[in-house]
Amino acid sequence: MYQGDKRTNLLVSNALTIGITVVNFVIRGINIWLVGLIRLHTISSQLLVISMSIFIATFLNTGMVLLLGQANLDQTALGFIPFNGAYKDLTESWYINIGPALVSAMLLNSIYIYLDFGIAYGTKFFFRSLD
Amino acid sequence: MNLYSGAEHAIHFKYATILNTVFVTFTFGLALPMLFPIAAFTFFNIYFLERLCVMYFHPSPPLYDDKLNAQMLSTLKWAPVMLIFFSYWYLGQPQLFANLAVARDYSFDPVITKHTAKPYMSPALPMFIASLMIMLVFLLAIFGITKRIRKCCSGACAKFGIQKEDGEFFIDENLGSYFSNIPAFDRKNMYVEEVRNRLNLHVKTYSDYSANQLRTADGTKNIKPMLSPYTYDLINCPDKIREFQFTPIKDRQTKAEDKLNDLIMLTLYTGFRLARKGKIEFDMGN
Repeated sequence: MYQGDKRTNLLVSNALTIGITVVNFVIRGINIWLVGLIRLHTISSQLLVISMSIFIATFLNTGMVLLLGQANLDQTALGFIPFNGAYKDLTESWYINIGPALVSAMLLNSIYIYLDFGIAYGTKFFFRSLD
Repeated sequence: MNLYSGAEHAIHFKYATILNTVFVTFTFGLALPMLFPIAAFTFFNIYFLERLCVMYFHPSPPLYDDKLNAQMLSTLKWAPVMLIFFSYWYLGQPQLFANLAVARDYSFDPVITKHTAKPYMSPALPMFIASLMIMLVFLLAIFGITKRIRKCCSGACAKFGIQKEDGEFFIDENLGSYFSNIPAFDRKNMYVEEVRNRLNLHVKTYSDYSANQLRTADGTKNIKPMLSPYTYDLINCPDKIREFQFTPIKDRQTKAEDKLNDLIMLTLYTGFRLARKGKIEFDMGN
């Protein structure tokens, strides 16, 4: 039973970490595409809007979804908001289950730029080899 | 050409990554202190990879204005505010910091922490005071009182000689004429390109006056040479040069390159050649 719970927790935690990173990557692509459709007048304004939109979306996905997605606001003044998650407060369980997922997600985020570079360079290398 | 050049420099998501790292770290940092060294590691990685990639991988990026930087700095100012508000909640958790335990009958009963927004003597108290002060500043800013206070203070400082009085600034950057501010080497290249176009392709992209200025302008007195594309001419814009796979005359090495670039020029200026009979000229201005 204990080992089963441990495995489930580990699985959920890892799934959250990878899920956050993948969704962040998808959000980035969607934001760049959507802002491109606005056709802003200068490259600087376009970059500004893209940066801010990616930041807001990834911050909501990385930080706020983890915090609010598992929150339970039933017994608070904000009880009218329909959040019925497992954590009524930042309890010990929150630190055990959600904390490590967030730390891992940020750790993955810190080395993600190398993966990104690898993908860009790898694609170029592949097509150059074909040429 | 595109295949063998590096990927385009995408600065937007790097900025977004930095902001995201800062905000997530400041939001959860007090609860999960491990996030601070991870953030430092992220910044080191970004710095390290950016230095290498800008030097060796990306083609030279366009010149960005200061809008992006200013916006990022102004957004970063809000991160400590997040830290203070969220820290108050984290540090006020009586189960963790006041050693309070509420008994449960069954393991599946909800955990009662008795955590409220009411302040009590705990590590959260300084955060509560700081939060109140921030909210007070917000309120004052909403009613425009902070502006008045700032104005009043700067007036008082000016009166006592602590600070210079605000006045109108007249800035004289001592800039020369438009032509003299184009870097000499680029100006000469533009002139050579123009002469070649006129002789070989019968395309005239500058007026005689402008072409003469390109040839004769004195570039020795300029103190701030222009860095961005000098004209709206497509072949002067780095992005368009790459997209059209155009090689400027200074970089050409073979006759085959000359022929290919002549073809690109002719294609770009087809409309101009057709309108030539109407004596339409592109003029960069006098």
